[in-house]
Amino acid sequence: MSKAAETPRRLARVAMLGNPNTGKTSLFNSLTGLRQRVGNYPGITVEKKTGVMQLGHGEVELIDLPGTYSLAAASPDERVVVDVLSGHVDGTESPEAIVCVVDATNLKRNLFLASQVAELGIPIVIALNLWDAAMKQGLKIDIEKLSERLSAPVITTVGRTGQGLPELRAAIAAALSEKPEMTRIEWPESAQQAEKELREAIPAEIRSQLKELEIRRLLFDADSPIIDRIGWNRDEAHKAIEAARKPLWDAGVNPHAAEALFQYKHLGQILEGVVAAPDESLPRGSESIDNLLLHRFWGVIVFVGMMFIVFQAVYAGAGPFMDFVEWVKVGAQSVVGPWLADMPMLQSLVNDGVIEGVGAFVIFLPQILILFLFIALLEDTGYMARAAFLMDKVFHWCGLNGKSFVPLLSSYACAVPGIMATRTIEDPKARLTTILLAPLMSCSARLPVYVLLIGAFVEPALGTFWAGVTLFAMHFVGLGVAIVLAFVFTRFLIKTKPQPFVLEMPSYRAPRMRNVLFRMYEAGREFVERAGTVILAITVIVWALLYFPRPESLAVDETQAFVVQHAQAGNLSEEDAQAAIEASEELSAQLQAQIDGAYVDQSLLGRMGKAIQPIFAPAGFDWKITVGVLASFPAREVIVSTLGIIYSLGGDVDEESGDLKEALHNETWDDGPRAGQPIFNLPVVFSIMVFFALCSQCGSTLAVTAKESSWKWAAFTFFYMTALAWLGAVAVYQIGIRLM
Amino acid sequence: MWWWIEIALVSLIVGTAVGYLVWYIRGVIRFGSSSSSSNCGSGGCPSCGPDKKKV
Repeated sequence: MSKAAETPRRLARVAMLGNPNTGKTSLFNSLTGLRQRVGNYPGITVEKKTGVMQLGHGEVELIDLPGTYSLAAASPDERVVVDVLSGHVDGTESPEAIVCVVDATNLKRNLFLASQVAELGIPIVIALNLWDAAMKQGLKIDIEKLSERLSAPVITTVGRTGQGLPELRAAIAAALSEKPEMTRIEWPESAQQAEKELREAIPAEIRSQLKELEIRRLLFDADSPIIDRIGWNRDEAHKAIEAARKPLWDAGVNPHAAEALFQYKHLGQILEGVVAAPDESLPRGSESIDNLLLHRFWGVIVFVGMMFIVFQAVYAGAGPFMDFVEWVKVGAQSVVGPWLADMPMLQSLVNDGVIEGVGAFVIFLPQILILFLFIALLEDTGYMARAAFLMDKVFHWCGLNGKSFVPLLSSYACAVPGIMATRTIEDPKARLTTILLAPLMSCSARLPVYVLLIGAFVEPALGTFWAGVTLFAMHFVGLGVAIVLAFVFTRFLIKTKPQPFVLEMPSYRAPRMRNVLFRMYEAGREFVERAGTVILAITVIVWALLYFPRPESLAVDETQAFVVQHAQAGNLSEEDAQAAIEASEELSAQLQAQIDGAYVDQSLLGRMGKAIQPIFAPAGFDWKITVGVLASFPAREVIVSTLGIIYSLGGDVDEESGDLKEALHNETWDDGPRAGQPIFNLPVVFSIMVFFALCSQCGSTLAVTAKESSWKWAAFTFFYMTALAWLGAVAVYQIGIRLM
Repeated sequence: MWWWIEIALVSLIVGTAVGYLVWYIRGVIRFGSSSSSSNCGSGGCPSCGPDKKKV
């Protein structure tokens, strides 16, 4: 083997950075062919992502970094940017070139970051993105003059359409080979003197680890995370930094504002005569719409109305598709059943376990697709940022701010990316509080539980409109509880200080069909993948626990009891009763259902459910619901499959009746004071839904909570949510039965 | 004669399911997401893209 083959080829590294919501990830996807999630609101990318980009005849590694307004890193996602640029991630070196993605409609503020980065001396290519929006606004930018003044290539791009990509690739290739240096700011005497004094004050062994840019960050930033990273004593560091700032104070400049002051002066000189803005007195389209959507009263009405329409559509729009999935499931069972007739155990595993369990879950795929269609539309139009702004007031009251709302809103799809999105929150305490509350948001895994129970009980009792209203209301149960808990947590548990909330409003734009379809495809793919992996595995295990043990004597005893019962009822001899049962299809089916029910009753899971059921009795749960709840702790949507298997194995659902909803309707109490009465009534149904709305039933969420905070807080989340769910379910049931 | 084939098949399926679940839970604890999505920053959920590389 040659030496070249033994040594892994190291690709040149190019970092892509820019302000939030400037379309970096769209450009990244176009350049690498990857499909990272994009959206029209800030804070989607919270960690660095890498891909390989073809460049001429070679390849380079492209790194997509989270959006940041400056290198003064305050939040964890912003620190990633500084660490990558300084070469402090996993011991890797700084990138060889940087693509700075700049919003063409907001040039001066976006170039602030580029100007900061220029001080690293790394070649920079400016991608002037959202060029189409700048043209639409009537902005006139002299690209040649800008490029000349910056001493850097400036390429106009439209990430969404791919416009300017060949030119951008060529500019990156040229930057890697020619290594041009972008024009740097000339710091005034006071700043240079302050920097010199700080450098001298830093202990020699620490100074050697620091780059010029990092010394400047120590000088200008309020409480730089660099102090902790390099292990400088905090008290000593703050004293030394404050002393070094004296020349700035002497020059009449506040050190915390100094960088912005000097940089904007520098950028003002660069941009003079480069940009011609249109008449600003005319309101832009986005501003006119915002007058309504951000209105303190009408804005909230529109928000609630919009959410109501979304959940009505999710509930009412999926019927025909669900019927189709049900038809496929029943068809598969009727084909497989006779085929495996010689192997009843395997037949039961496949029909009652795999097809029934997975089918009961997959039937909700249409709802998931419709929900994500709306989520994608709201994200891509830029409405999500407005929703965060609207919620700021409510969140401010409970000790958080609108910045917490963006991760919480993401948690409506899934809490895992929602918790990761908390990296955009600067204050560690506010971030922790948001992490603890994110799992309360009604994620898409709760949707199948709600739709099954609402479809089976609320719609027949109250009609389709109220069924939609119930689905809408269930999505706000978690949010309402989260607001109250945030108030409690931020005052008594994790005391936070009021935080200002600044969020850049993205321009409204027509949703791009490709993004919307991709988001739906992704959601559907993940849903089906879960059905075929973890749900399938749990389904098989639940089947086994409900199928075994299976003593033959039980079937004999049940048959004997049934024959005796039939003989007494018909005044027949036992032989005649036996013959009558064998001759009647209906009686045979009744006998089989009784045998199946007895087997499920004495199965391992049946016994476990009966042992634990008293804990859930005050919430109105029987042992079968209890088993469903227990099986759902790894992933809450498992309850649908588990109930499907319980009723299928118990003979309540078969390929003829086929309907889990009907089986739930027919369930009655076997014994006790309510013997013969239906188990499922509206108080029980709402009790179950409230339990699922509040309970911590997602292994992935707990693991991510631990990763982003600690196992202690993950355990806290599990216990507080589970206790809250039990209390909520008991309260709903107990109040409900008294009102009935 | 089918009974032993049936028992073997059922044991294989149930055993595989248990093994997969153990592997899945280990992945969740280790990566904060399912092992099947271990190359993904925030896997195991509908919002996650297929090509994310965890770095």
